[in-house]
Amino acid sequence: MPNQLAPEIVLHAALEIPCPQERAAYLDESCVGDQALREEVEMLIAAHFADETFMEPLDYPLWQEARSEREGDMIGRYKLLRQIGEGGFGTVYLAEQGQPVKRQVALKVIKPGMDSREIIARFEAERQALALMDHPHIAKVHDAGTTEGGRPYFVMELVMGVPITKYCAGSHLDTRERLELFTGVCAAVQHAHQKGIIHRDLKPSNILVPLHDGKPMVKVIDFGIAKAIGMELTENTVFTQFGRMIGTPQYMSPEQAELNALDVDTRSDIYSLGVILYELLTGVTPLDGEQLRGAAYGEMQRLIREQTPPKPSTRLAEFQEQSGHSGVSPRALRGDLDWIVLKALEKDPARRYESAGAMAEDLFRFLQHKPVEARPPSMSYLMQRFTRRHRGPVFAGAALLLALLLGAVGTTIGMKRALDAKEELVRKNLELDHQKLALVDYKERLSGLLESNQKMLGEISRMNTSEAGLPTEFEALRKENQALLDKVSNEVANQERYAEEIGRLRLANAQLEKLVMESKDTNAAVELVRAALFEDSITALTANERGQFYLDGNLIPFPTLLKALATPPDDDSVEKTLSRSLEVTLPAGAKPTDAVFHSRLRQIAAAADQIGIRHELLPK
Amino acid sequence: MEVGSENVTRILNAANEGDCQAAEDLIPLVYGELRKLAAWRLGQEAEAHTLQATALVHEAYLKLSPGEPQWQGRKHFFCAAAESMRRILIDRARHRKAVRHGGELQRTGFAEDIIAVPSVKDDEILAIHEILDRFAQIEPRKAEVVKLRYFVGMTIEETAEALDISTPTAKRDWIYARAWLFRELKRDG
Repeated sequence: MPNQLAPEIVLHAALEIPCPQERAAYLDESCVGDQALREEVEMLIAAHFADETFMEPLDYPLWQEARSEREGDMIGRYKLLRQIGEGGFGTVYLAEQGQPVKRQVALKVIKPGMDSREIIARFEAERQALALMDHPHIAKVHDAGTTEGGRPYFVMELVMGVPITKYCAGSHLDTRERLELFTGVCAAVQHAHQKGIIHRDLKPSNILVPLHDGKPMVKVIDFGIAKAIGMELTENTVFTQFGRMIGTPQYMSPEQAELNALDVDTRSDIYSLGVILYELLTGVTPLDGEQLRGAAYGEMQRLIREQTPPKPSTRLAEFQEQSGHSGVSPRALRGDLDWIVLKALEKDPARRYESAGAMAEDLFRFLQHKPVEARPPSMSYLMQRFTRRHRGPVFAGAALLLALLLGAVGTTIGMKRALDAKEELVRKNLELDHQKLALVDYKERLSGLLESNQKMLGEISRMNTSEAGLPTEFEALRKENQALLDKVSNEVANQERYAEEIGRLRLANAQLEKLVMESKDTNAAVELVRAALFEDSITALTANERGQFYLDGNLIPFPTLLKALATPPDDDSVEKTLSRSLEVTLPAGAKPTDAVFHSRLRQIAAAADQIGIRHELLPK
Repeated sequence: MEVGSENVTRILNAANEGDCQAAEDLIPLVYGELRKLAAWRLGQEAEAHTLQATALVHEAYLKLSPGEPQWQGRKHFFCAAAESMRRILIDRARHRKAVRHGGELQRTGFAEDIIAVPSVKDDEILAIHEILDRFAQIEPRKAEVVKLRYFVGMTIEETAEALDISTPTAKRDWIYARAWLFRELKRDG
């Protein structure tokens, strides 16, 4: 039936023509006189383009290895004896090698799903380097290959031991013993780094403690494996393509948590060492593993990048209080040990120990009661870090807070820094204007700011009691903060879940206003008060027993109030002025004629009369 | 399982000799084989990572075929496997829909649940299932292409190889079938 075949032929020919006009012309030509054919083909073409996802087949690899290995199986020249472990990326077997020497080894078979040839090629490239490693605290990697099913495997020195954290807890080691064991780990890592090998996946389960002649002896396993199996592309991105968490994010450095972890170098291992030491001293990792695993990817990155863990001593004290468990005294950690751990845990790689050896040396110094290299971070550094954390719309807020803080600390340095911060701020604002930022970004940035806002506001309030003046710049900065806040609010106005955060941001802004008000910079304060005074047609002031005036709960210095009242805002319209009124609420039982109020109320009344605001401040 | 294998081989050989009924007869056997394989794998692997439907079919193929590379029964086998996989997926899609709509989950350890299917769109699977038979009446070969590609998840190249047709033909068949099915679905809906 040639008529039934025709639509198909026309369809395929038509689909080969990319341009719709040309295609239509082709249809005109080939379906001439056959309206039914034309309609049929047009419907099929429309159907073809209608929904790309319709019947979308996913191209799966043909083969998945038929079955997993079992005891007694031979892999290469190794005979599997029994399974001894199962990790995120493979299964570990106790295996026996017959040739050239008879010995027991650990054989790790990598789970399917990665390109085996590529892994083996990468391993071959690494092999030479791995062979150079010869250290009592490093388990040697002997061999690698692929199973018959095409899965890569690694053969390593057999280490029968428990993870270092478990060993320390189980053997009730004291702090000194833990540190001594840990310096062995540092030595191993230092050795590998000198040979150009980064571990990339240091965690307690990769640091085992077997007994050697009855003495504990740390062994770092899996050196170089992470790189060989391309973990920077798979495991360390933590999520698989199905969004399942498979890595161990709590030991991962901030630079490793980035999707394109290009900056990973030896200092990432230093960070992981810091996490392990933290855990050895406190029993928990600096960032909560559960929280990290539960978080969405972006949130997890943010936590790793930004969340500053409490000092080990603080954490240990908290932990002991909660659990009623006592062991190492938090006081033993306070000071030097805290700083050593935190130095290794610095978010910025450049601020960590430059080598595992340097970290070990500091630990030795501590053990010998000598002064250590690690120091508490300086205030200026804290602020730098704080600024860097916050970019985009809320940068203004951050910069302002920073500026306020700096201003409060010391005017000379403070001014310069504040001006620098302002310059930075202006630049960022420009940048912002050039970018159309996604709402998601706003949310992240908002929540990021809020956390620090609260912290920094606390600091500022504390320092502000030192009565230092606030430079004029700050009012301008505050305005920009307000403007950006409005902008963000507008952008996210219909997103209810941001409401609370914006609310808190506003609160922070109000607190900033208060600070400006209390500062010695009257011009800024006057500006602020003036804006508030003329915001509504009724201006309501409250006075206390001492004759001080409050607007919206904020104390307003009397001279500031008078100055603000002296001139209405420029843009004020006539109608508004006419309908304006001023009300002052006095404390219960007080009369306007009381000495404490009388003179001030008269001055306010005079100022109000001057600009034509209605009031009944004083009895006629 | 062994008895089943013998039967399959005998029927496949018969199919090779031109017995059209043989391919139909194959379906229950291959269907059973696929389910058994899936169940076995489910029992084998404590971790039960999913099976690719394609891999499962190929595994069944290796088990049942005599091992000659040019074996002619392969086409029949793949047609039977594709139809089997279709039934497995339809059963599963219906089952999941029933569970979703408040039905009780009666079958536990349902072997099919570990099969990673080419598509997780249950509604689409069921809708296509409804009209595929009609399409098979008009375009039998193209319907086979759909089953292998859509229900088993084979690539165009694998589909072409299984059906012993050229890759461009398999591709054209797929394009036409997909457009036809889409149009029919819209018309019905």
